[in-house]
Amino acid sequence: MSAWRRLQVKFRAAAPSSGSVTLRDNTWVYRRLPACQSLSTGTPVRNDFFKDLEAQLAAFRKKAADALPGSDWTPLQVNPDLPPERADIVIVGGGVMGWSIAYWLKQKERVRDAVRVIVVEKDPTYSRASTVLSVGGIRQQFSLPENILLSLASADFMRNINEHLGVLHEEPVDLQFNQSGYLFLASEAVAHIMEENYNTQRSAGAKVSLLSPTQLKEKFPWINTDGVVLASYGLENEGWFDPWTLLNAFRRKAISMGVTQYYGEVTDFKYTTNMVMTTDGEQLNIRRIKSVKVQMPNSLEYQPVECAIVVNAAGAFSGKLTEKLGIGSEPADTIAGVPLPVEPRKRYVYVVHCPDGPGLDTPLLIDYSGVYFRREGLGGNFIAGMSPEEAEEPDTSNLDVDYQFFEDKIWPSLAHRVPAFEKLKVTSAWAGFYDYNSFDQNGIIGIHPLINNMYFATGFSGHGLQHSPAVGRAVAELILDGNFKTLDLSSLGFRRILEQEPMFERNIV
Amino acid sequence: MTRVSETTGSTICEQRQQRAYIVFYQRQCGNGGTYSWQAEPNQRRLSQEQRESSSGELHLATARERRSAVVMTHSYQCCCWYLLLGRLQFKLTAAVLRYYGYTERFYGSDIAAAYYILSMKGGFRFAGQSEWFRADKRGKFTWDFLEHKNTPLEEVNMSYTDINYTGLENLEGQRSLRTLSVRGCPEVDDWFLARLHVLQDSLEELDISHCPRITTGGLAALRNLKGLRRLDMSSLPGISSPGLVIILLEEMLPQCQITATGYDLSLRQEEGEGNEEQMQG
Repeated sequence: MSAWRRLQVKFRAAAPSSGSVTLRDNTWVYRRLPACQSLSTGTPVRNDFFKDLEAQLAAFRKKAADALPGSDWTPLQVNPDLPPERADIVIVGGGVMGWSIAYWLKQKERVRDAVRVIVVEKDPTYSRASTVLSVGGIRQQFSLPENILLSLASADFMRNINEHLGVLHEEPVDLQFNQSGYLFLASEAVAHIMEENYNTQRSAGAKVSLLSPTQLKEKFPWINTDGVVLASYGLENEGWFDPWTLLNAFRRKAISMGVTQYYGEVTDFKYTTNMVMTTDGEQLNIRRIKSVKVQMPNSLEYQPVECAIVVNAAGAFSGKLTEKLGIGSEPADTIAGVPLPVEPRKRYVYVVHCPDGPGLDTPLLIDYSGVYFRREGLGGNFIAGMSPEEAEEPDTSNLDVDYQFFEDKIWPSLAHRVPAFEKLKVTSAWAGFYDYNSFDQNGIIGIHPLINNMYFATGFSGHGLQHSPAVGRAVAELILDGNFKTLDLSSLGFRRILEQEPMFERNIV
Repeated sequence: MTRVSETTGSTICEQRQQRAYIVFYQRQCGNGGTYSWQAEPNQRRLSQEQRESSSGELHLATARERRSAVVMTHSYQCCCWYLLLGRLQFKLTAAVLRYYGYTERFYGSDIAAAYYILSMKGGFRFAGQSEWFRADKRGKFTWDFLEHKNTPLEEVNMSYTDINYTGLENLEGQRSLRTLSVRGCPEVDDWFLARLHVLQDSLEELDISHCPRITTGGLAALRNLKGLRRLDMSSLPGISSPGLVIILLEEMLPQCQITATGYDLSLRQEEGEGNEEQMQG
């Protein structure tokens, strides 16, 4: 047996750890063996604990941490899908906004695992989520400087997305960003608004250009410039991308940083109320959420999650969620009587095939009649849609598509604007919800004055996806730093709704 | 890029594009928290605003961050960098820091652009001259180009360099740039192509072949370059259906002559169709 040890043993540096042994030049050559395996019979068997000391000590520490109060461990594991009993921040809504906030919270925390963040999403299949049903465009052509800056910051984020959301040993994120720009067309009546918007956009740093009808015809010969007086064209940082990839990128990175996802619906809150008298003599009930009741999907089981902060990123369903706190149920002239003005609005998107249509340079064209379309892929397919009039808003109880709407409202305008679209074929369509802010169609970011610990990031009415990276960062700054640090979005807070001062976006889709 | 000369904390830093990336390495992992850094020039006095922007804070939270932290800032010529760890100070000497804004202020934007190109190991030619200025393999170049003040650049060859979106800012003011070659640049991606719109009036010839990060979405951004006469898009691995893309590009830029070699454009029968016919028959 000692003769074995006297033999020369060579290690090959580059070999993977396997237990193979080969004979070469009369010497036994060992490849590197895994740590716990040993082929030698001279050493004692009961060596486990000290050989693996580091791993054993780590396991010991973990067991000790689990035994102490404050951990999730229970001896009776009932249902592993239930959310934990205690969490620091509960994000209601697992769309791109919720996951963006989760990522930025983890990105900004000073110490690892400083905040325990959980994301609660009610639909595991994301079948009705606005994010994945979105057309996926990003533009800087807004009229509010806050919106322009949000879009610019989000475009910056997406340009460096792998620096932000790259996970070690996983594939890099490919958003499939089409740098095609947006083209807004203005008629005589709204041309002055477009010029003012152009000045705002330029001063905020967006790369936009104005085109006259002749220049427009020269650049895009397939457009019929009849009725168009001015056009606004984005040169850079505008286009469209794949929303599902962005959602999954945020999700993957946030999960790798310690955020956990649970499937369930938030049906109720337990909150304490503090009655305060204002200087005017009005009594206010300031609520503080103590715990959130999460109902498991298709089940009677629920779990109350004690939390410090709740983030309302529930999109189209945020209004319904806030009602559970009693906001909106009191008489209309009190602060508590103003409900969160976010409701779902159904929007249709039609996929059409037109082989003679415009080519690779097609921007996302938005006509002054409200019709928009963009190229989809390289095979002559296009995506078109339009926001209906207020009076003709479709029913939001389901996501069924009305093809008649395309025939009556969209096709005539499309064919008028692009003559090649007179001959097209509708191949398919889908519908999705806007988280429509019925007050002024712009996002609501911040704390409600009557709920101490609920942060809102909702009501974006169709431009939530393109703002999600920047809004996520803003909400994380609000929560962790106490105030906005990079972009000042205080004008998009709750104050404007209570004071009934809408911040309208002129020319929206 | 950044190179570490000693693990105790000295770094030599070279400008990457327009900002300096300075990497601090520590031998022992600290406990996380906030470290402050500041920059001081060796030889000249800083103005008040320069002093304000020359210090900052680093938050080192994760273990990975504790091993190396990156500070991104506008740099100075010849500075000493101090990393303050509580009461200890690690002095890091950044020997070669170039500040293109500084150059721009004293010599004008054309010379600054020229200086940038040479330090990225590219080459250029002034308008009205026939001489090419280039840096050699080691990055050394002569300073003769300083004689031609206020002469715009006409041809720029940045092939196989590290130019990226941020670096294009240095070339933004060039109103008579006719030829640009970014052949084989690993950092040139779709966003870079979108930013080329700043050269849309003058650019006539563009070579983007062999760039691995360009995809079809970025080629759509070339629609702004209406003056483009010659485009070379050979061997772009990121394009999925090159034949179709070439045809669409030719339609999009009718006056442009497109060179696209290095693609397999042969028509092949789909195997799936063959199987279907067999099953039906």
